[in-house]
Amino acid sequence: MKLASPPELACRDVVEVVSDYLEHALSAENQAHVEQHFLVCPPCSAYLAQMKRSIELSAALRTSAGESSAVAPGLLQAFRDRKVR
Amino acid sequence: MGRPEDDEVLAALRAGDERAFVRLVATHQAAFRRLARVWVRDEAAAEDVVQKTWLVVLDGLAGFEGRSALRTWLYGILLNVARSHARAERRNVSMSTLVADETATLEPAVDAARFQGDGDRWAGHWLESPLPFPDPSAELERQELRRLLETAIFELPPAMRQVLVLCDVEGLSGEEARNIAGISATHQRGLLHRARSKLRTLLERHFAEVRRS
Repeated sequence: MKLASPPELACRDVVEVVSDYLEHALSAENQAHVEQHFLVCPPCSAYLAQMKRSIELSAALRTSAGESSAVAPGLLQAFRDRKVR
Repeated sequence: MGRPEDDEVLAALRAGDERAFVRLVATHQAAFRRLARVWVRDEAAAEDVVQKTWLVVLDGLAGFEGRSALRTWLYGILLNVARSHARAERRNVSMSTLVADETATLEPAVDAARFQGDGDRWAGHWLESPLPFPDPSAELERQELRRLLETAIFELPPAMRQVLVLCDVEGLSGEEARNIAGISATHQRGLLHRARSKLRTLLERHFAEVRRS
């Protein structure tokens, strides 16, 4: 897929590649076009910031769950019983 | 032969070092539970999956050759166990079918009504700029946001949920996620894009409601 160059690149198309842009999964040319679009388009920059924040909030679910990470007693016994080596 | 950090852990486990096993469990247990919940209906079933997975891991450790990273191997086992569990609950868990279904159509990341129409001078450009997501200051708001997001992730279609949890919740690279999930790069990126777009839309609505109230 080839994106239009910045003057013709529409916001409607940019939002479809923001995830790939963040993953550096676009071709170098497309990555550069999107980058340039963000420089001149405050609404798309605002959208990008929303997307980054949304990803941060997902990542925050990883922490502070406060769940036990203890090994169940039966499991430790299973470790002892098995010949892992 | 594998990665040096994995080799060290594996050597300790194979030498019967209990502390190494306890550390391994502590490192991955929470992620195991979250990944299991992608596929099974409740916390109790997820806990069963996690415990069963560790037993499969113990059985497989001696034969693990380090062709993939230890974490990739562990998460792959967890997902196999979780999917067998879901199959026993008679749920369709064929990754290829789910991926095909979930990527068959592309609904726009953002509602078309948010952009200027094709006849306009600035066709395809925003009518109004998206607003920044505020940082909730109060603990109660943070908890509410967390619950909202957890529910939203759980309501994503399964293949999208799988990829989003691996990439964004667990923070794995796209490459690691697709190795674990057994899907192509194109599908992994497409699913991640769709899942992220849905969550962003939901958060935008949530914050708009908060602003109004």
